[in-house]
Formats: sequence, C-alpha cells, structure tokens
Amino acid sequence: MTSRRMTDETFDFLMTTWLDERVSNDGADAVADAAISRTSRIRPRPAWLLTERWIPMQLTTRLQPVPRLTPIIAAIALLLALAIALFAIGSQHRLPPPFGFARNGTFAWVSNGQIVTTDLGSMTPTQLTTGDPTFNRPTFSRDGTKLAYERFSDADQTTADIIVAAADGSNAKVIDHGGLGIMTWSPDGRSLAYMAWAGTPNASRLQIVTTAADGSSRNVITTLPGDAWGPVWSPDSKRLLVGVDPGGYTDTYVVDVDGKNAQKLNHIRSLEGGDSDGEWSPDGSTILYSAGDPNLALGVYLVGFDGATERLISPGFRSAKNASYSPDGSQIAYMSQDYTGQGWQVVITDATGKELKTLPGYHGSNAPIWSPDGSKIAVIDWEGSEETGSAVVVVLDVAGNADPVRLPGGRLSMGRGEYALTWQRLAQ
Amino acid sequence: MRDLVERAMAGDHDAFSELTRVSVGRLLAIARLILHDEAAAEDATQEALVAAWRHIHGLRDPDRFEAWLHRMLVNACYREARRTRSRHVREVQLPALDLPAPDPTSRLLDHDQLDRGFRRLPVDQRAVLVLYYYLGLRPEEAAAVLGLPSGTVRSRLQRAITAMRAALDADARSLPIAEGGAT
Repeated sequence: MTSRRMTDETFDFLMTTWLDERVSNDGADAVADAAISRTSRIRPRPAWLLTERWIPMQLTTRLQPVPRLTPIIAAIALLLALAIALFAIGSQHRLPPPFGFARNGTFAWVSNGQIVTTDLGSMTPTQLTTGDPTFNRPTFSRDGTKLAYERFSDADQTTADIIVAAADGSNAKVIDHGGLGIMTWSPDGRSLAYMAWAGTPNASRLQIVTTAADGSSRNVITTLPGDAWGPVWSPDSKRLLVGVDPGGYTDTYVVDVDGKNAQKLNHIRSLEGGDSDGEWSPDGSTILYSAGDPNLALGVYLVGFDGATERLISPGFRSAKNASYSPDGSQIAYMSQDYTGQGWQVVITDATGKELKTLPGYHGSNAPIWSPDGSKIAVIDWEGSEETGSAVVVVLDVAGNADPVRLPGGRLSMGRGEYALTWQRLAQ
Repeated sequence: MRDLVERAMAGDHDAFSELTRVSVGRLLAIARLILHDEAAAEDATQEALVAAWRHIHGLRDPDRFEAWLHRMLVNACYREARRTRSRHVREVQLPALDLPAPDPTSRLLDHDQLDRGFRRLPVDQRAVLVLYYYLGLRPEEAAAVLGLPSGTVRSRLQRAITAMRAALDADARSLPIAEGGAT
C-alpha cells in the first residue's frame, strides 16, 4: 500500500481534465459524410430483429378430548371457552409456509427514496421511513413477519446500511454497514444474504455476506472467482445461488452457505454483467436464470445440477429476462421484448417453459413479482424517461379478469428500480 | 432537436442527416476516448450512426435520442474493440524497482501515466469512465445509456477507478515496455 494515494477530489479533477484535453473533433465531417451516404441507401427497420413442496409451519392447536367424567355443565362450558380462546390466540400467530400459495399481505415498494407499503384493498399508502430519501430494496421475510431494506450511507450510493424491521416498519435496527443490497431472506426466516464491498481500498470487490436476522453470525463468502451478485437462498436454506462476474460477464454459481462447494452451473454466459436474475424452483431441483448478450438477445434458461447444458425456454427471436416462479412453482413469469421494441411484456409459461399466455401491456424490464396467492403480478412502468421520470407500480391480474391497478409511485432511488418491490405473505 | 428526431423517426432521412451533423463530433470524441484507436473510433462512430438509422423505430421517446445514440455508440465501440484487440500493443510490467518515490505533484500532472493506465483497462470499464467523467453522467444515467442495471454500472465504475488508481501507483514504481503486435 502506497502512502502517496491522491484524494478522491484530486483523482476526479485529474480524470476530467485529462479526458477533456484528449478530445478532438478532427475528421468528424468525413465520418458524417460517410454515415449519411450509407444511411441514404438503406431503410430503417424495427429495433429488435433484431413444484411444489413446502414445509408446513403453521402452528396447530389440537383440542384434547374433554373427559366425560363429570356431569357438571359449568365445567364443560368453562373448558369450551378456554378452547375457543386458545384457538383464537393460535390463529393470530399462524405463519404462512415459505413456499406454496399464501394470503396476500401488504405490498412494499420504493417511492421517492422512501419505503412505502399499501394494502391493495384500501389503496392507502403508508410511508415506513423518513429522512433523507435514500432507502431501497425492501424485502419481506417469507413468513411475512419481518422487513429488510437498505439505506445508502454515501453520496454516490455505493454502500448501504442493512436494516431489519418488523413488517409494519417498527423496531428498525441497522444490522450491518457497507452493504450493497440485493438481499434475500433465507426461507426459514433466520438469516439474510446480501452483497457488500470487501477487501482493501485498492482491491475491493463485491462479495456475499450472510448474517442472522439480528446481525450476529456475520460471514463473508470469499471463495467465488469474481464479483458476487444477487444471492438467492435454496429452499432448504443451506445453499446460495449467486451471479459471479469475473470481469464483464456473469456466470451462475451455487455455493454452500459456508462458502464451500462452489459449483458453476451455466455454459452460456450473461454479457449483461452483474446479477444473473437467478431463482430456485420451490423444490430446489432446478435453477431459472437469464443469460446471453443484451446487444442481441437475452434468454431465460433452466438448468439442473448434473452438469447438463441449460435449456432455453424463451423464444430465440425475442429478448427475455428476469424470470420468476409462481408461489407454488407450477408457472414461470418473465419479461419479454419482441421485435417491435415497445417495452417489455409479461409472458407466463408452465414449469417446463411452455408458453401459456402474454399479459397485455408494455412495461419496464424489472422482474415480475407474483402475489402470494398467485393471482397477481406486479411490474414497474415508467412515466417519462428512466433517468428523470416517475416509476409507477402496475399490478396485473394473471387471469385477465380485472383491470390493472396503478399504485402511486415516484422517483426510485436506484434509477431503474431493480428489486424495489416485495409482497408480504400471510397465512391463509 | 426534438423536431428533427421526430421527423427522423417518421423516416425523414434529411432530418437524420442533420442529426448526424449535430451529433458526430461528440460521438467521435467519445469513441476516440474509449477505443484509443483513430481508425476504430471512426468505424465505430459510423457504425453507430448507421445502426441508429436502421433502428430508429426502436426509439420510443424522442427526448432520449442522445442517450439512445450514446448506447448505440458504446455498443459499436465494444464490437470494434473485439475486432481490433489483436492489433493493440500489449504492455507488460517489469518487476518493481526500488526507486525513491517521485514527486507527487509532477506525477499528478503527467497525463501519460493516466493514458497508460486507461489503455490497460477493459473496454467496458473505459466506457463507464468516459460516460462518468467526460459526459458527466450519474451512474444511473450511465446505466440507462449502457442498458445495464445501475448496480452493475456502479460496480464497474468502482472497479475502473480502483484499477486506474492502482495503475497510477504502479506506474510510479515500474517501467512499462511494449511487446509484440503490429499497430
């Protein structure tokens, strides 16, 4: 480590002045002439040729048979009243299973840099955070009792505090500093995994951190061969699906939570870089992810753990990404862009990738979010440009029986708003 | 400008030609910065403009024409970089010499060091540095130009800055020499 490191301001100034001084417009007219000559001979064309297994966790209360040893009616009535009271208390604490259908709870997203929730019935938004508008990526635990999110702690929004709160936003506690979000809860609700900068100032890289929900037992996975992105827990909470970027492309890996047994699954790389948009099937047997070249076409792939080549499930003539299993694993939704280039549509397939329907309307490319009961899908629309416009959450009816619901949105703190939507699961 | 874009979107080649004249200087400058190769930069700029005309119906918002055109250019630069990679001079590092530290002021002013560090970066990192430092785009704006998630751009930017700083430090301690390859 040298002691002669320049300040950030000096480096920024140096870079800016150096680039400005290197600019020359010599020869621009000749290039323009050549381009105009070529384009005069061609016509524009369209832009783009271009399971189900869940672990029951509900608390059941079994009534003990009331012994008929006494004829005293008052005692029976008392026992009955007690049984009813116990049942009522048990119902209040019943939790949804981590997979399979559940009842729809509140919906959380980011609006103007704040975490907001709403119930689709009342449509009354509740702002859970206040202060500087720097909050992002809310995510409910699968039992619906906790909400994790990030709060950027620097002006460039490159590092964030990781915060865990109750589902209603109360009891918020910072459990880690220096994270970079894209966090997911373990299905058992005990742990979180997220990205964080790790290493020295001159050799920092993105790695995966796992912690208990209270911030204890922090562990950094250092065994992956590149920047590690978007960890997703396996259904049994023992492994993680991670996008690994060794430099300009992304491979899809699974790795044990302790960092051992890293296994590369893909044969086709994602040249988009960063996250691989991966997801486990609910039975843990298959991985769903995106790969390909964003300049040509991205595709949605299914791959197992036997080393066999991945299978493309989206049509080769369209660009597709951000696939997501329905809560019961019987269907897949992904975003698809056809040759007209008019934004992205939600395509729904069965679990094998056989296309079932395309939902009407064009949207942003963000991942479609299934409602816990599987009847709705939330996507993001943009009003105006993605840099300066407002994001609107659009809730689509999968069966097509109801009109889309548009939730009041606003500026998302991360620009494109990736991972900014989450839906609370409640016991049915 | 918007009027020209809308006319071009309607298939008016004269309008597109005017847009080409207005935009070509900046496009060529960006391509030169990213590619460090005069011929490749001219080819990339021309290819980007041809691609823009071919794909003009894919432009949804006329107000985003410039960002959309920059995206075409960066993609064209990536293609040119792949095509010309074998022609570039490869630099290797001699072992660090035990020399006294140079004067920090003179080192900061020596743009040759920046130039060498920049050349060693992969093209995707050069592109994000140019968008950030030359065009002055915020990471989320650069993400829109590049068609990438903003987190990816932030990561790429952080890595590029780290590499540039490391390259500058390394340059101060070692002597690069050119090896093989025709220019």
